Amino acid sequence: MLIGSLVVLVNLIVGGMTGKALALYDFKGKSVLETLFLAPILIPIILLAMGAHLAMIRLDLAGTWVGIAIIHLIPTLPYSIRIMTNGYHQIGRLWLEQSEILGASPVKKLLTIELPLLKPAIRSLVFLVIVISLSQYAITAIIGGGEVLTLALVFFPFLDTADTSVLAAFSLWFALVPLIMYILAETFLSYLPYHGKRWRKHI
Amino acid sequence: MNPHTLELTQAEKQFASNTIFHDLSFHVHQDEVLSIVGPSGSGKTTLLRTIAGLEGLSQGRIILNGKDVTRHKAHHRAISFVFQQPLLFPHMNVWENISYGAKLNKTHSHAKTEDLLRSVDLAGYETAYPFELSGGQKQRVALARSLAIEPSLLLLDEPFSSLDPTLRHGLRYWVRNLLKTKGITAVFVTHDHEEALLMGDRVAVFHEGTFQQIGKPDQIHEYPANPYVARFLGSHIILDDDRYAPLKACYVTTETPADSVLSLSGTADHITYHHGQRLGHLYLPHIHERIVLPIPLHVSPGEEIRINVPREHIQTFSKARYSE
Repeated sequence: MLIGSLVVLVNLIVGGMTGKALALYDFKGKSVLETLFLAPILIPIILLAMGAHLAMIRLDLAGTWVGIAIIHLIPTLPYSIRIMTNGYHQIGRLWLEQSEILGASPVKKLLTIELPLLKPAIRSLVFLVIVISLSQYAITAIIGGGEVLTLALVFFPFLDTADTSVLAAFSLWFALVPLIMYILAETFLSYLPYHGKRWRKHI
Repeated sequence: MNPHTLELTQAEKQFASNTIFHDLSFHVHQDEVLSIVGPSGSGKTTLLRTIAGLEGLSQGRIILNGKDVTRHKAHHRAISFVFQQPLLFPHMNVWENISYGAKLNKTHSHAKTEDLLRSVDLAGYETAYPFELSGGQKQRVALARSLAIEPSLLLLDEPFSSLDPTLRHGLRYWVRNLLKTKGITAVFVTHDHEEALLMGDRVAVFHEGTFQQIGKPDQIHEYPANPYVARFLGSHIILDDDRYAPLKACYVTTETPADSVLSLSGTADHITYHHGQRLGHLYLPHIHERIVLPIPLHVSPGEEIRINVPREHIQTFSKARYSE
């Protein structure tokens, strides 16, 4: 849960900032950068984990939950960047400029315009990232070295079991964690200003 | 004369090697509406964006109320901007949209928002969301939202361009009255010369990155500075680079007239009706000009005609670009 929360948080921040830059700014080498951001999901993750493992050992992060959270960014960030790029594409530049003209500082603009309008993207991101993070067995085992236990690691030895009650228990756990994350995300989003009347909104 | 609210001196804007405008100097008096008119793509919007602080100037200075704001960010300038689209925040209702900026700069009051809602004829729509409003209503909310922050200067970038012609005509008068009633200093940008003459206390004709002429509507209309201004306003016949004659002095015949008039041959390409008059769309091959003039009933499309210009009405271009 802790690893999942950290992965979601980093994905929101990095994915949001990268997505904003890709959607709203023009710069040299933008298309190359976009392709590079997608690269981690085009290369076999085991291959990346092997190389990352050596780096983690040098950095003393192997076998720690922070190390696992970092390695979980590899299969999740490309999706987050894509989701947030699309989210910012839909908002466009003009609404943000309009709020700036009306006196909004960058922080106010983020809280009153960007985050409320990015709600659908944030919901998708949270769900997708937590589900991907939960499902990582191989890279968690490599980087964690069996010292840090995640749901996938606990579940793995029971893969060949025919015990329906064990499977049901694991299924429930796997459903429960994304649900808790969703509730947490919704609670955070409900604290944003200007959430209006849900049933009348067409965004 | 009122003091200057806005003053631009030797402003220049470049995107890479492309110069959008250069050596631009002008001012806007307090409580004045300046219309900037020019063809699409001439850089009018970029000029407004630099004044608002959404784009930086490549050179020059922007003075607002005597203070140099050239390096100030948009949210630190007392300038409001109404874009071509209303850009109402979709997650806020009308009340929240209007009070948004005022809350940020801590000038919000219930009475002010209510007063603005009444001013834009939208009392009763407080809880409506943008998707529930028509195009005209949205643009009026956008205007109220811009006025709520009590800006020193209001910039309007073709605010009626997304509206249908009937609504557009009605809204022009309404906005002009509102600006004058509330004593708002504004810069209004449009590509429609009729709209520019109607909205502005002064009109600036913008072309090729510079002002071709700035002056009062009557002045610009009567004494265009150069062939471009005369052609843009469409009220004159341009005889050559130095001379023109007002269309109101010209008349169409089918016979050769007396020597006291300059007679030009042409053809009546099309005939239309406007303001109760039968108008001929005429082509004059010798001076390569197309003009529109009232024509006699017996002239039919495709017929050879003569456009007669009394010599005493022929004038030379004033060349004076700036006048108060």
